[in-house]
Amino acid sequence: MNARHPGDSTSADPLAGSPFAEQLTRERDHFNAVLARAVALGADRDDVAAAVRELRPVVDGLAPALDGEELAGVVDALVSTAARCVAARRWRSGSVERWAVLALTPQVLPWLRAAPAVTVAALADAARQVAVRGDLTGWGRRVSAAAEATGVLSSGPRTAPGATSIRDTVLVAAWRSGLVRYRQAALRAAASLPSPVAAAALDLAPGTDVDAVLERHASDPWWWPGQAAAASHGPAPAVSRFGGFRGFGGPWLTLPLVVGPLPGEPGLLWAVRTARPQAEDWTLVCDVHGWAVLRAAPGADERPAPGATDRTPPAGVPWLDDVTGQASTLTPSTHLTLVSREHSYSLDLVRVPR
Amino acid sequence: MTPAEQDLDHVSSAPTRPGPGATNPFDLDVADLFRTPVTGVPGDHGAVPAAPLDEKLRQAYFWVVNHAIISPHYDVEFSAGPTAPDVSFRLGDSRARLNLPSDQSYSSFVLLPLLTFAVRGRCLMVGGPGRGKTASAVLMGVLAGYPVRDVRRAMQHGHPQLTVSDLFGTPLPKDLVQADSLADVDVAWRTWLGMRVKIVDEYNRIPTRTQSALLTVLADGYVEVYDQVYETGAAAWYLTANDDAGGGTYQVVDALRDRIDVVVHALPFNNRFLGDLVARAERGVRPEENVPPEIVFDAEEHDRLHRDVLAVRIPVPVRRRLEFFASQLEVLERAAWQFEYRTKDTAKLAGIDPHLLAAADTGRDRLGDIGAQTLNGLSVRALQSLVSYAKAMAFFRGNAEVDLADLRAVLPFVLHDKLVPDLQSAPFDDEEREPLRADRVSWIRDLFDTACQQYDAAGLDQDDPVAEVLAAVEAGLEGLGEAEVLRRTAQIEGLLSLWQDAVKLHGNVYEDALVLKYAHQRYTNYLAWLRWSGR
Repeated sequence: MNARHPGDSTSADPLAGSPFAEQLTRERDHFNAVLARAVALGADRDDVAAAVRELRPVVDGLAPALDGEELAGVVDALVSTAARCVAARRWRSGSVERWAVLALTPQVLPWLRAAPAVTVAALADAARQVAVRGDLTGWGRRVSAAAEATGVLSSGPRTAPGATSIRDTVLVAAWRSGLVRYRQAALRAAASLPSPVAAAALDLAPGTDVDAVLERHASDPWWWPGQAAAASHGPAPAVSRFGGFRGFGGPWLTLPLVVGPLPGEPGLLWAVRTARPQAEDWTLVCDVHGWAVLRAAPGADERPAPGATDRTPPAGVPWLDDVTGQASTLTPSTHLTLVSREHSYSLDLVRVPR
Repeated sequence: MTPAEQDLDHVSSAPTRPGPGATNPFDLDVADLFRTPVTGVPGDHGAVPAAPLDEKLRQAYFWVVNHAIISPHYDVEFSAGPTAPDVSFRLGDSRARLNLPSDQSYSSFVLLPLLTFAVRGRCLMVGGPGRGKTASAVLMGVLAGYPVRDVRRAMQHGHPQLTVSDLFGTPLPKDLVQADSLADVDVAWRTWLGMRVKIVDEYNRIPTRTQSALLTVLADGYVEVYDQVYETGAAAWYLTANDDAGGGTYQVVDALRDRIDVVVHALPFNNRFLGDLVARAERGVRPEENVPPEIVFDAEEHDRLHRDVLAVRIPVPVRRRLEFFASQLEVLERAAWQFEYRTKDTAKLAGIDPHLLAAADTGRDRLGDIGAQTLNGLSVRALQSLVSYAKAMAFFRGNAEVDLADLRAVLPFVLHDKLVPDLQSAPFDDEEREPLRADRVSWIRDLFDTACQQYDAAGLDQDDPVAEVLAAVEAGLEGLGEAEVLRRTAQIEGLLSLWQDAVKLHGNVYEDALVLKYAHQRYTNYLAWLRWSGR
């Protein structure tokens, strides 16, 4: 890619002195093939060129901290990912993949040194899912902190992080940022990470006994150190809010009815039903970090049937409305009540410490 | 076409068939987080965990239909069951039924070759020129991990001058001159013989003698030239032909046709998708040269895939329906006096048209008796192919055991060339059934559906006295006393006397009667031994 205009012989070469440009020139044939492939896959040539130019400040900023081989790996990973993102129409202004490549990768230098392709791919891949279902900013912060913790570790006698370790850390941060469906995988992954890295990915204070936290949380999904501050689903600290009208991004077209808790870890799975246009069963999956609503698969495990409902709203809800369904369960630390009501497409989970 | 679909490296995200049988929907894994269309598989320091083989096979299917073979057909239909019934519409003067299936359905032209790949069977692809038969076969070779160039080189093109040496290899000229015996002649074997995917293009243009040589490789997995034997190993075979009826330059040897497990038609191109063809030509990207590594099966995976397919169980109710269906086809009551010889095979061996004997039998319901619509029964080889492909279908759909829908889906393609219709029989004269003369897939499916309805109407799942007799024999006779043996023989005779005047000799009755005779003989022999031994 040459940014100089024809006949512009007097202006200075804007790429002169750029380690990024030098690396592109050095591996010209390889990068030409990468970019040609993106174009063959339907990417616009100008968009590809613009994306590559955007990478320059990122790489040039990282270059002083990288040796020659590391720099080559980082440039290859960034250019390949950017080109593919352009081909997949995911390199627009405001796209999360672009944000992950341009803004987040410079913050994970220790990972880039060890496994550049895995790192860039993992961040770009996970970013979209986190953006849809979780807290993208918080995830970026946790990933960055975890990479920094990895850097401290790898500067000592321990070895550099491997691809599995990097992916596991990204996964743990994603669960901590609201992707509840990765809960089990994240709990397994966190247990395999070095304690300082896991603590950073989980937003735990330095020095926290991570193993003890994870062990307690595994059996009590609504417990977390400093959980009052961690609860972020609703306006009141003791009430978490889930669901919503489909037109506003929620799952439901009609008002949901709480049916009851489902077997499993206490407070993790709840049966919900909507009535119109036909009765449909749903499962609410929620823990202290996030929630998801899924259609219950036909023929899945037996589910409770709606029964008589106590119409009295539980103490602590910030509304006056008629209750249509509520169900309670006890966790080791909390008394949980999930409530549906007459005039809301959302469900409220009221948490009262035991 | 979406950008993701344009990207040849894009493999459909798992699970490609979510449902109760799939992984826990509430519990996603690290692979799910990083399996998105943007970046593909990163190359350094480890790989994304591999998908289960059934998932990988489905991903291969969806990659082929999305990127390689433009086949927007869903002729292998599945229904989600009574909770989500299919929706149908009747179109045109003939009220042609268009069914919108409620469960994931597939294109036979892509699905059957893939199932052949899984079970390492033999698939014949038929249809007019330029419909993607060869391209589909080449893709299967690439899915087995061979470079496209090697697959193309290894493909055998049928032509009238193709000799056995062209096909398998030639003896080294030096050895031919110097050897004292045939054992000293070294043969330079063709490399395609050792490949896990073997392709024979236009096999109906191969001369008869070479076809016979091909038969040995196809059926028994070895080649013999100049007393030298080459074991070719298990492989998936793909043969193509322009003529469904086996015509061509040379008539295809019957034995070769019989070795083919499954026949699949190349479906016509839907011209609404011409834009995709244009875009593909403009981009200059060849799908077979860009198969993503995630859907390539190496030798170990290919072996494991076959083992996993074989491990799929066939539950008794499904097996019984297949037995009931197959039993209907062979019997020909007037073909002989001896009970065991009353079959279509007896008539054919005697050079008598089974149709003439069937027509002389005026006492049975010609429309309800599915055996009256065929000129032959099923061979053991055909049944083995059926079982194998039904298991593969169940495995492909992520089922731990075969259900009736899996069997029904593959049955017409396996029996396509194995079941010969009696086009002069009464059911084909019905105006509504006239198209079944040409549409063999629908005809076979209709036969199977009719048999299943008859099975259900007879309530054989609930009340099957012959199954009880057979189970008692299979449990072993060791330790049985004389009184018990006499009770059992009396029970058998009682059953036969009940049937004597009450039932027609339909296929299932014929085979059940032979089963009772078999059991009776076992008890009779045992009783003789018991009395001799004085126990």
